[in-house]
Amino acid sequence: MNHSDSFPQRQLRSLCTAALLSPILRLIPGSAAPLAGRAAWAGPLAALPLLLAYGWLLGRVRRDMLPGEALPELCLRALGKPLGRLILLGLSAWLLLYGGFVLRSGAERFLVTVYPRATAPFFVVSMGLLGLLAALGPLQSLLRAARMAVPVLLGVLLLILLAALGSLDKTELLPLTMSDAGALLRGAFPALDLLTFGLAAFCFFRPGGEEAPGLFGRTALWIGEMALLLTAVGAAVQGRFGAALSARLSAPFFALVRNLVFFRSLERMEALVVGLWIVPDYLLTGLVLHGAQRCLRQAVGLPPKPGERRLELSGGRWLIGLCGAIVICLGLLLGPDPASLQLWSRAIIPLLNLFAAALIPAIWLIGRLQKKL
Amino acid sequence: MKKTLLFLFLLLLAPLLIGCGALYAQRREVEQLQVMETLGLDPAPGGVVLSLASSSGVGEGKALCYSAAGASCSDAMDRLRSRSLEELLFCGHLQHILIGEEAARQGLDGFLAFVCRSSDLRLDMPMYLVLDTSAEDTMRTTGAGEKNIADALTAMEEDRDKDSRLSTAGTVLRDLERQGSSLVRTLRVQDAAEEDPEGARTVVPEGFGVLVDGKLTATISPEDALAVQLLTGALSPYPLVVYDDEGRAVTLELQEGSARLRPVWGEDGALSGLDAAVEVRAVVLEIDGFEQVADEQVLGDLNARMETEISRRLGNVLRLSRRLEADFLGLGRQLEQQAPKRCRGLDQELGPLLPALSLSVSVRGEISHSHDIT
Repeated sequence: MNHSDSFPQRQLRSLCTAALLSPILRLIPGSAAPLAGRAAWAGPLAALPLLLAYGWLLGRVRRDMLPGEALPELCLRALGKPLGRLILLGLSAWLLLYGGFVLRSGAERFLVTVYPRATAPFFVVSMGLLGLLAALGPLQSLLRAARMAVPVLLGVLLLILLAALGSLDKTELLPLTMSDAGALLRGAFPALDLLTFGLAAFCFFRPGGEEAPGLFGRTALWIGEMALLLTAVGAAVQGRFGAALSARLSAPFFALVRNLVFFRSLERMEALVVGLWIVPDYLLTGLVLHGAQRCLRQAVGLPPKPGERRLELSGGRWLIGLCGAIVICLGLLLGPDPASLQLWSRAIIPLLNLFAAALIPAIWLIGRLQKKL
Repeated sequence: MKKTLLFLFLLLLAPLLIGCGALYAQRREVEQLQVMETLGLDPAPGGVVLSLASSSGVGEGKALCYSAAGASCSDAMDRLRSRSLEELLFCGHLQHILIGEEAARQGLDGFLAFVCRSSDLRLDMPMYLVLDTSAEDTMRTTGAGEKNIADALTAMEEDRDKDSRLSTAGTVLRDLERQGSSLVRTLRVQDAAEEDPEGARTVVPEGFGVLVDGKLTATISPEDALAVQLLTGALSPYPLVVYDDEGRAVTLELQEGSARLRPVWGEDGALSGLDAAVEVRAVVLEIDGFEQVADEQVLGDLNARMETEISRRLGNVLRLSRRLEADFLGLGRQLEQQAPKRCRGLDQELGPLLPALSLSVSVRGEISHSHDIT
C-alpha cells in the first residue's frame, strides 16, 4: 500500500460513526418498536454480546490480511479467483443497492419532515452526485470530512437528547422484567443490523501500518459507545411517544425534534437538523461507493492503484462513474411509495446487511480451512 | 494557496445556505405572513371543515379567522391557504387544536393521522374539545377586538400549566394506540355577562371527554375532573367546596394529591379487583363567618367531608371507566408499574377486564392549615 493511501484506524471509526448516524435516526426506535414493544429502547444493549463477538471475529479476519490488503484482496486470496470474483461482484451489488437505498431514504426524510410538496428525484440525484464526487477522490478526503463532522453531529444529537429528557415518561420505558427477554432480543435486531454494517465497513478498507495491539479493545469501546448512543436515541423517542406510536411514525426522531421548544421561545428546528443530516448521508453514500467500486474493480481485474487522480478514467476508474450512476438509478427506482420504502427499510435492507455481514467471516473461514490464509 | 482559494469559495457559497433562496422554500417577507395559532376541526357533509385563527395583533391589529371545507383535512387545508388574498397563512407556529363536539363524536382517527403527517403541526399541541358547539363557531365568536380564541386558550394554558399537558395530540394518539381510549380536555363557550355588554365571549375549562377507538363516547363533568387529575397524577391546585353541619359552604384548596393503585388478586391468582388509595393535602381557603377552623374538631370534621366528597368523585370516574370497558385513565399502566411481573400487559388489556373487577376507593386527607383570621 502506498503511504498516501494509509490512514489511522481511528479515522475509519469516525467515518463509520458519522455515516451510521443517518440510518440510526431512521431505524431507532421505529424499527425495533413493532418487534419489541416497550423493550425496544434497550435492544442495542441486548445486542452487545453478539456485536462484541462479531467485532472479535472481524479482528481475526483483519489479522490475516497481508500488508496493503483489505477485504476484496483477501476474498480473492481465500476463495481463489473464480469464486472470489463472483463473491466480490455480489458484495459490490449489495453495496450499490444499499447506496441507492441510502439516497432514497435520505430523500424521504426531507419529504416527510420539511418539504412535503417536493419530489424525491431532486434529493436523490443531488446526493448521488455528491457521493460520486466523494468516491472519485481518495478515501482520506472522506475521512477528514468525517473527522470534522462527527463533533458537530454528535453535539447536536446530544443537545436534542438532553432537551428531550425533560419530557421523558419513564412508564413508556419501564418496567422491564425477565418475561421481556424475548422482546429484548427481537429489539436487538436493528442495532445488530446497523452496527454489524459499521464493523463490516472497517474490513473494506485497510488502515496504514501494522495492526496495533489493543485493536479489539478499541473496537469494543466503539461498539459500546455506539450501543449507548442507540439506546439513548431509542429511550428519548420512545419515552416521548411510546412504543406503539413510535412504530407508526415515519420519522419518530424528527417528530421529537419538531416538538422541542428551547427556553419557551426557540422551536421548529427540525429543518435545521434535517439539513444537517445531509452530512451523514453524504458520508455514507461516499463510504458505500468507495467500498462498491473497490470490490467491483477487484472482481473485473482492474484493482485500484495508489495515487489515482480524481478525474482520471483509466485503469478501471470509469467503473466508479458506473457505480455512481447505478446508485442514483437505484435511488430513483427503489421504494416508489411509502409502504414499499418501509418494507425496504425495515426488512429487505437489514436482512441483506446481516447476510453480507455474515459473509465476511465465512470468506475468512473458508480461506483458513483451505489453508490459503 | 489552493486551500485559501477553496476556503474563500466556500465562504462565498455560505450565504446560499441560509435557506432563503432554497429551491423549495416558500420565500415570503415576515410582514406577508399571517401567523395562525389555532386550528379547528368540524365535520361537513362528505368531509371536514378546518378553521384557522390568527394570533392577536396580526393584520392591522385584528385577529383573523378563516374556515374551509374539504373532502379531507389536507384538502381543506389547501383551500384554507388560498383564502387569504394578500398574505400567506403561516401554520408553522400553530399552538392549539380545537375540536367541535360533533367531529369528536364522528371520530378523530383521520384527523390525528393528518396531524402526524403534516409538516406544519406538532404532536405536542394541546388539544381541546369544545362542547355543544362547533370549533368554527367558537373560533369566530370568542374574544373581542384584538383578542381571540388563541389568546383565551393561551391564557388558560398559562393558568393551568400542569393540567393542560394532560391532553395533547401526541398523548391522545399515544393512549389510543396503546390502550384504545384516551382523555381529551373539554371546554365550554361562556357568553359575556349580561351586566357587561362590552365583555367578550370566551371559553372556560370544563372537564374531560373520553375517546374510545377515536370517538367521543362520554364526558366527565368539571367536578369529576378532580378525580381524573388525582388518578393521573396531574393535580393542579383545585378549589373544593364542602358543607359543614350547619350547611355553610367551606372552600378548601387541594394542593397536593396522589393516587396509589393496588391490584387485588383472587384465589385463582387472577386479577379480581382494584384498590385506589388516594392521599390529598388541602388548606382552608374560605368559610362563611368567623368559625374557629383552627380547632381540631372542626378540621377533623371538614377533613372527613372532604374525603367523602373526593371518594364520591373517584367512584364516578372509575364506574364510567368500568361501564365503557375503557382504561382511559391509564390504570393498567400504573398497575404494571406497581407489580411488573403479575400485571404484565395490563397497560393494553385492562379495559375489557374492568367490568369483572371489584373497585374500592380509600381517601386519606389532611387539612394542613387554614388562613384563619382569628
